[in-house]
Amino acid sequence: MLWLAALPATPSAPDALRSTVWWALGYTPRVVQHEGAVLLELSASRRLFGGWLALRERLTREAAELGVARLAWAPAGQAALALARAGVAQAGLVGAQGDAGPPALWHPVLDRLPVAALGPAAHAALLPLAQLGCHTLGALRALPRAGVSLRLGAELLLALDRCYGDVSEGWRWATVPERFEARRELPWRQDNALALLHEAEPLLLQLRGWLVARRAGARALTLHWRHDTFRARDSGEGGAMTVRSAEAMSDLAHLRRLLGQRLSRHTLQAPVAELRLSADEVLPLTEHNRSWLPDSPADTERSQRELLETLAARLGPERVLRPRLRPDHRPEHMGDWVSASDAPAARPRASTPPSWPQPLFLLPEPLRLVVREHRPHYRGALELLLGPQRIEAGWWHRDDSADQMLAVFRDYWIAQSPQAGVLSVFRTRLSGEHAWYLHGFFA
Amino acid sequence: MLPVALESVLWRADQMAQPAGAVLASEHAALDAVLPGAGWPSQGLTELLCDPPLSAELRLLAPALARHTQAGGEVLLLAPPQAPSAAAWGGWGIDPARLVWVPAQGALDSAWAVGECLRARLPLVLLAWLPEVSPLTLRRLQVLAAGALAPCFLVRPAVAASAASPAPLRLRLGAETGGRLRVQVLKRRGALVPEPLWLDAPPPSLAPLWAGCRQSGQRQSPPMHTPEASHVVAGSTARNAERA
Repeated sequence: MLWLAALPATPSAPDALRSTVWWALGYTPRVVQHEGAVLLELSASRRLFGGWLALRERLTREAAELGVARLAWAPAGQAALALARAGVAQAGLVGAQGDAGPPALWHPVLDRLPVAALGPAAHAALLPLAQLGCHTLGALRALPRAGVSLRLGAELLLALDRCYGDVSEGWRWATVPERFEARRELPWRQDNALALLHEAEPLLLQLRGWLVARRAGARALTLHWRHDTFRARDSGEGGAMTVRSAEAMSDLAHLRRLLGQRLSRHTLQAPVAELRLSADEVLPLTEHNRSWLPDSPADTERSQRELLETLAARLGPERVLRPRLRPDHRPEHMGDWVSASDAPAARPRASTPPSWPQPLFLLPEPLRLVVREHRPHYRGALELLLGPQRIEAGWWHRDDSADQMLAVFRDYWIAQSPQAGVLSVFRTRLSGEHAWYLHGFFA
Repeated sequence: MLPVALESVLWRADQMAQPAGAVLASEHAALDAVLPGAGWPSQGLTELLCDPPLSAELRLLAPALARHTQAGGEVLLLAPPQAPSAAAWGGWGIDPARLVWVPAQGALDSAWAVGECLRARLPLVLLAWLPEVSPLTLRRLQVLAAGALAPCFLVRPAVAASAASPAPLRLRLGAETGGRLRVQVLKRRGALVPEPLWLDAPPPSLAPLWAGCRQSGQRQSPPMHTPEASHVVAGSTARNAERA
């Protein structure tokens, strides 16, 4: 058994214990909330997190971010708690691999702890024991058990036995609620939007633990903030920012990166006093098999999606686009571009290629060309290579917003410009005059 | 003799370098012959200097991009000067489902996006139009590109040819009549290439019709009265006769 006791700096604060429990659930399902502390049983988690040393280093770092004042490791939960209460470093109690040594190795350390380290069970007995001259756990353990049980209560003995690992501890494991929502009052007023990401780190740690405990993944999360009470009148109560990803994930690194991109482009209206994090779309997690081969196709696809989401977070979703094809004869209606996040899962397959060669790049509005000596000019006189291709379509198509018919009556030609490469040009029909327009570039 | 590890990263200026990563064949035999590793390098930037933009670069790259997308790779178009047409790429052999268009605005956002794509280390061919980019940014991108897994092409104006650049491969492109491209290798990890190359690279969707155009080889003025709508190869003898 490998136990870690975490004592929050302010155990009386309403959220301190709950937030520590949620964070701890990210590492093990065996978490206990006990007497103002949180106990974690981690013997089965060492290998998953890369060995005991790596796990210890990670937990120590994250606990500091979360506001945990003291950590202590021991082979029994009550012993870890006693060590944390007494503020004793844990060095001797757990072996180099995180395994419990023989009792002879760690019992002497416990023997030197003060009786008060047993917590509430020992409160009533502190004075009588002090009068007996019994100050340490070792001295208490040396007293006759029957007498101690009779005079000071069986509870004290039970705590002592749990501490030394003589009886099984019989904990009630912590559970998590259906919905996640965590708030945090900032230690100081924060007026930099990007710094909010750092301040939200403890909330993200809690969310990760909550997700792992529920075996779920978050697809979107929202960071709400409340402005300081002493703010300009027109700055409002606060604000919120939602980031979402295509796939639900329990590892929040990607959502955190998206949040950072968005926050770095945001300006706060007023200093922020309080943060709240909510997980909006929580879905059951589908676990993928891990592969020892690098760059499996699933990995590539996932990191590609993450790349596009990162780009969209900064540039805006309307600037990361995928094509969508439509059956039409008018070049400008043969396809359009939709946001990559909205693109359907079955992405467009190459349909049958159009009968007439299409230019790779289209002008948003056809450009009227100068005609000299009956020849259209664009960066020099155009040489018509191929044509005409007559397009008459769209008589049924009307753009109501612009009050405009989208019907076209055009003869398309493929032309070569001496400087601008191969172009797609057309000549209007039925419009009185025959005007030449440039419509696209073959590149 | 140098140790093997050093030998592989050392390039002697009188020899052709061997790129460390994979290469993507350009599918132009004459060009592959002068590129180190016989193809587009997947590590390091490749600069294509082209004026005006969109006149030649995609005709040069289309065969390589087609092959890349058919093998399941993606192509990202970053800040092209015109909007790409969704429908046309299939006719060039480039699978439109493998295409992403990022119309970034401004040099800062474009350079950032290039950096993000390179940092992701994905088999994603990046084709970015960067009309203005500072030498410092180029240097940073080159460092990022050194760890990339797929080619990264930067299209820049031809005036950039006179300025130094950290990109290990720089080509100047020009479109010529008759579907030919003039490609001048300005810089490569190898001996100088004094003469420009002439590549036969018509737009792929036009290729079947192109041969006829070239053979006639005569310019033709546009007809004032459009005849019956049909696919007519320009410069057909009938119209020449009519004009004569």
